[in-house]
Amino acid sequence: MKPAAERQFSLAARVRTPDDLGGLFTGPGRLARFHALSWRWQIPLGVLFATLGLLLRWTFAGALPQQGMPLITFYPGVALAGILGGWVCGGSTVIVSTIFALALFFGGQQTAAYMSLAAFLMTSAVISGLGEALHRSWAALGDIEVNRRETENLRVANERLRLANALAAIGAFEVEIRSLAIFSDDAIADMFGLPRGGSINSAVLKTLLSDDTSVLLAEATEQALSPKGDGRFRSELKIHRASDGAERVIAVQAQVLFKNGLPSRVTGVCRDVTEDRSAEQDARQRASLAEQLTALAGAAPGVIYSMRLGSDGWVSVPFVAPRVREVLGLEPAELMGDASAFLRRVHAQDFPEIETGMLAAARQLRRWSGVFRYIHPERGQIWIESHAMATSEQNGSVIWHGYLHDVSERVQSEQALRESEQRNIAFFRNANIGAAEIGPNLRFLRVNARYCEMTGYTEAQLLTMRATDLSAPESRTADEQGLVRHLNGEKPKYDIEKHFLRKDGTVFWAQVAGSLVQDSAGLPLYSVTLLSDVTERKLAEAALKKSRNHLLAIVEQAPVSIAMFDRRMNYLAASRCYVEEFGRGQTDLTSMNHYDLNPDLPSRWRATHARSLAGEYFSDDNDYWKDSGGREHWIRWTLSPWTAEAGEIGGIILLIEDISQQRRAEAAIRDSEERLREIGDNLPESFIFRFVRGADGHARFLHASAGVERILGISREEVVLNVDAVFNCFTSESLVLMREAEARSLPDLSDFRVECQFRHPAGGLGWAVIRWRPRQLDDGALVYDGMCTDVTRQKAIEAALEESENKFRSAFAAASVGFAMSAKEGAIIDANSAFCALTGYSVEELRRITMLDLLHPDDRSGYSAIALRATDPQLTANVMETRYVRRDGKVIWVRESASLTKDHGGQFKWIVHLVEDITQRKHSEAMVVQTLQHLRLILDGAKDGIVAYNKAGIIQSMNAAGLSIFGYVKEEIVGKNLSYLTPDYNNILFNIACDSDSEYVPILKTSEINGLRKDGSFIPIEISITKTEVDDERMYFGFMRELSERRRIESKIEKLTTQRLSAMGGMAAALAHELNQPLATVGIYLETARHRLQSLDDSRLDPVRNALDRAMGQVMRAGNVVSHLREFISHGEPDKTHQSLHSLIHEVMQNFDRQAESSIEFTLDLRAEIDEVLIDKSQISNVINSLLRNAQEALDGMSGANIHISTRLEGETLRATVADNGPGVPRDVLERLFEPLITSKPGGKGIGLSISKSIVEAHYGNITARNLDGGGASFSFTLPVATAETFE
Amino acid sequence: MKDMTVHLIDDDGDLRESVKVFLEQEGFKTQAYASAIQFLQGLSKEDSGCIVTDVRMPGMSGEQLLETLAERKVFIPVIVITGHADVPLAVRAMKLGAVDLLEKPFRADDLIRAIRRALEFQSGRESDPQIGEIRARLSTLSPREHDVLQKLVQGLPNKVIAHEMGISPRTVEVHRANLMKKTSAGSLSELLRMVLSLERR
Repeated sequence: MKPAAERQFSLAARVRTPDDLGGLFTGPGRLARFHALSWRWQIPLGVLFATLGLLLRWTFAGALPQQGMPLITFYPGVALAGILGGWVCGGSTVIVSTIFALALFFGGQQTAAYMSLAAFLMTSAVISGLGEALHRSWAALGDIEVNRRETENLRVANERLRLANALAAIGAFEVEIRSLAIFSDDAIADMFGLPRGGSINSAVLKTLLSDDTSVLLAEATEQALSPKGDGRFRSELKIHRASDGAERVIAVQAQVLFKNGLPSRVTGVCRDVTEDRSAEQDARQRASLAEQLTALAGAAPGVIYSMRLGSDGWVSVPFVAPRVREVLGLEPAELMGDASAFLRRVHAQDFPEIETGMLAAARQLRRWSGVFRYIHPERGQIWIESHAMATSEQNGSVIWHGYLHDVSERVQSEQALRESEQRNIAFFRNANIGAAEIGPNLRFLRVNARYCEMTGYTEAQLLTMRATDLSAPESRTADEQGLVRHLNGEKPKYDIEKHFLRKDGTVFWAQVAGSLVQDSAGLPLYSVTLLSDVTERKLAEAALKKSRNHLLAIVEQAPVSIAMFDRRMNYLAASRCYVEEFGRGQTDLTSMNHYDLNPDLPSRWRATHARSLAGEYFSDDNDYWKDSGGREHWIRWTLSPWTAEAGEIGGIILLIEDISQQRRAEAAIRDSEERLREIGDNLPESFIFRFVRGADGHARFLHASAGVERILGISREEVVLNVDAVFNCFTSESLVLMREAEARSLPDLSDFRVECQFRHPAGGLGWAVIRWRPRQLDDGALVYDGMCTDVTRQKAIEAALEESENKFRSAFAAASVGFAMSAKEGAIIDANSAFCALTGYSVEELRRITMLDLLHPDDRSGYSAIALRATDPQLTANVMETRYVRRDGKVIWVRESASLTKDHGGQFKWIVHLVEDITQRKHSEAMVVQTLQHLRLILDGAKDGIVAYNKAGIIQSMNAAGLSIFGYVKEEIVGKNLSYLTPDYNNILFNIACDSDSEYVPILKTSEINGLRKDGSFIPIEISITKTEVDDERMYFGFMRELSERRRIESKIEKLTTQRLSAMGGMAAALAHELNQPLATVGIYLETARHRLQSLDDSRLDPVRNALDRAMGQVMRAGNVVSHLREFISHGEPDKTHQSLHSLIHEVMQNFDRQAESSIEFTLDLRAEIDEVLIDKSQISNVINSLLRNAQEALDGMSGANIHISTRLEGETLRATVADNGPGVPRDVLERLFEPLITSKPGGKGIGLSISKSIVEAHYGNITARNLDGGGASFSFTLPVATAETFE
Repeated sequence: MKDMTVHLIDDDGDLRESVKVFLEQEGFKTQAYASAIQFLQGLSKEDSGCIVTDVRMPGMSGEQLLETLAERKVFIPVIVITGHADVPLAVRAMKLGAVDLLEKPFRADDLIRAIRRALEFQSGRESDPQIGEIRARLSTLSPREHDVLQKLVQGLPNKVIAHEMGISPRTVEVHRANLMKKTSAGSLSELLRMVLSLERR
């Protein structure tokens, strides 16, 4: 099944086919359909039509054939059927219908049958023919339409061809031989410089042809026109273009068309091939220079090459110096046609960068340089530096002329240095130029002495400053932007000349060369910035500007064409040469306007002038201008703005030179020289030179590339003029070396190389490597092609590397902690003395073992995991604590940090181990852990819950019992706030806040709090809190006991007590009833007796009456005791009324049952100012009675016994006290004196004091007992004073 | 007055005998019964005087006796003597028609006084000279004290009163003490009697 989309597409395609659409709407198409009907359809149709004919015939006749004029009437029917059948369906239908009609006819007719048949056949033939003709003519109409469309297509194609020709600068033409009329298109007209559209007259054409061309053309034409030839015509015409007279070369290709054996017409095409031809000529000239180039290439230590990237993407090497064998290990022939042998060997990681770099340079036609890795067939990976200049060629390909050389040595040194820096052993060159390290925040990290000297600041001052603080205010923003871009890695090299402000405010100019130092991951670390003072040069420049006026005078006398304009392009000055050459006949151009003088100047120049006035510098070495007078100028010019004294641009200076004559000749040489210059000039830190020592011993430089200025500080011109200037740059020792090397190389003209020292233009000595190759010319002169490379930087790097290595080594060796360096697998490379002391091995012994061997066997598996982690690029250091086994078998604990060191490529290289002996610490730790474990065991074994928390109330730990009380597991509660344990935590915290002293004392005495269990239920907890200092932090420990257990016991006791009391209550009720009954009986009898006695008037009976009264009083008292006992037990309510306490005391004293024999003295001291109280009179009198009786009993048998009864008003409270001078109450009894069923008296009732306590408390007072200092006990109770106001 | 019979009902024979001896000595005609049922069996419509009865007795308690008398519409004043008196019991007894309540052991003079008052009550029911006096005393009570009094009469203990009134038991006690003072009631039963005598009106 086709996908739906595809089906739709094919359907659409079908519908859009023109045939489909046309077939539906044009006649022939429709007819063709019917004709295409198969014979199976034609036969029934024939029968149908024949039947139709017969029916028609019968209709016309109105009767059967027998009844007359059978044939006449028959014909129209058959004929009509025939016409219809033949026209619509074709011949078969006719025949079938005929046969069928005949069969019908013969079935019913005997006469004139043959006649009828003949007539019928004839008629049908005619009709059939007619139908056919009609059909054909219809079809022909269709054909015409098709033809018309094809013609149209052809016309469009022709038009396209013409357009293509025009675009390809190909012109087409046709010549009619007979009339010599030439038909041509616009392209040809352009080519010949003739007006477009007009016909080309052959006579005019002839005048354009150069003489030799005319002859050639005539010959070629003759040959082409000869009937023997193939009629092909091919020639190149040199013409002078009609429009401008330029000499052009036109290639012509034509074909002669013959008619009747005679040439009738010529058709052909022309193409302007002037550029092609001149290019070919150039190529020829170039070839002659190859030899010189090769000689030079041989001298250079690297390889000079040209590489072409064809428009087809194919990379070829048109030229490569033979030295490629040594440098790249490739045969030049291998590379010539195909660069892939070289490209394949470029390191895969570097290739994309090289490729994009070169292509980008090619697009912008600028210099390219790059350093990349190359896999040398024999030497393995080497580093190659290459510089190239790209030019584009006419056919769209790009060619690079370049130079490459092996820089492995340098790159390796650089890498080594970088690694050294990674080890963080810094060096700072004591250079003679100012040097500073600037961090990413633009702050100085380090400056050297010279830098301080130049800026006028001290080192300490600079280290607090930002780099931009040295900038002049007007350039500060720009400087900052530049530096930031530099430091964030956008511009790793920073090279600028700018002015700075010294501390004293003076300005100095300096050449700043910044180089970004990046870490192994490529992240910017800091910039090393070198500063060289160029103030003097700048001053010179300024002086130069001042001498402009002098220049103006000079301008006029200059032997070159030079003109100076103001801002409006008026001439200020013009040299004599200029006036002659471009003055247009004027003798003095001053104050004339350039544009007035030259109204025909091309607009592009006017635009250039305007831009130059805005400050740009322009030059063109090869420009063309044809003035309105028809004069052509090939000119070389430079256009530069000049600055007026105020600093703004005052106008422009035009320097112009007519080079029309030299142009061609120079072109080729320039090309070659250009290449040399490019190569030479582009060499960094190098220059190439050609040096000649003539047969007469006279030596001179023929050439030196631009680098000589950078390296030796001598201009190229001076090098050529003054050979000693060059030699003077080198130290005398170096010159001796050079001479020796030269002498060695001369016998076999071998290459030689010498490393020598030269005086650096910036000051100090530099190192240079000079290589050259001598050649002997025929006249005996020696030519040295050579190259001088500044290796100062490399030398400095090497020196610094050595220094940093030494520093590192000394730091490494002297460190007090153990240092060891191992390879990835653990093989020890080096170790310091501390490490040796630690492990007990010597360095030599260590080098024979691995880090793994040092480890305790149990720790090895863990270590390999660590080592593996060390190779993780994300982690640069790993710290672990592990055990080592010393050489003497002793196990020590060490803290080891392993850090990974990577090389420049980020590859793992080695591990630096920093090892510290922590055995002692481990021992103490173990002790602590052990102690802690013991403590924990103790804590967890404790029955009480223990919680430790800090000042903030955060729980630090909790023992097992504590956890089980609250139902938590340790992890849930540690770290939480105390509020998780109790809603009362604020009280606890409050206690903490109030607590300021640091003694180890309980700060919260045992108290009850409401514990909150994990399940949300509350639990009564008894807690006491202590505090201590742990690690300078105050810690609190809460010791908790679950009260639920105690409560259970207590409630049991309570229940038992209640039971006992209720039993007592029941007993009391029964007792009351049982006692009251006899008491009442006794009372009644007593009363009866008393009443009887009252009736007897006998004084002798008075004691009896008295006794009866007393007896009655005791009966009532007994009743009261029973009643109160009952109330105490069943919590009956007191019946409180307003009473006077003093009256009550008197009353009680009155009735008090004093022991007759006792000599106790009662003293009353009722001094309370207010004595009205709200009391149950009988209850309180009982209390007083009870206290009195107690005292009396305590004083039993004592002489001098005294009971002191007193009252005092204490605020709103009345205090009544009963004190005696007896033996006092035993201490153990004192506290529990008021508890029920407790008594100090043997055989004491015990109920008295506890009932008294409950009575007093029911009256909102309290009762206390204490022993007096001088002996005796004091019982006192309080009662609130009754006041008039109510308590609502 | 002497023709008024004191009907003494107590299951304790000794007490019964002592009281009977005492009352007869004092000149009261006394009929003693060992139980309330015995008393009721011998009771006739013509009987008058007063009844002195114990509360806790086998067969029929003093309270049941009071109820029975009320049912039979026997209007003989009843003095209750009890071995363990408390407020609820006193209130119940008073409400059932008892005119006085004495707690054993009691002073004989108190009993004589109670009987005399009861007999006076029996004879001069129509004109109780104290009613106006009682009204005057009760009118001096504050609304709060009045409320406390009403609840006291219902036999509620202080704690319950405090709870129902939304005040502290101590305040109830103060009210109670104050109203006792204002009504000059010597005891709770006296207070109850005053209030109930008003209610009976």
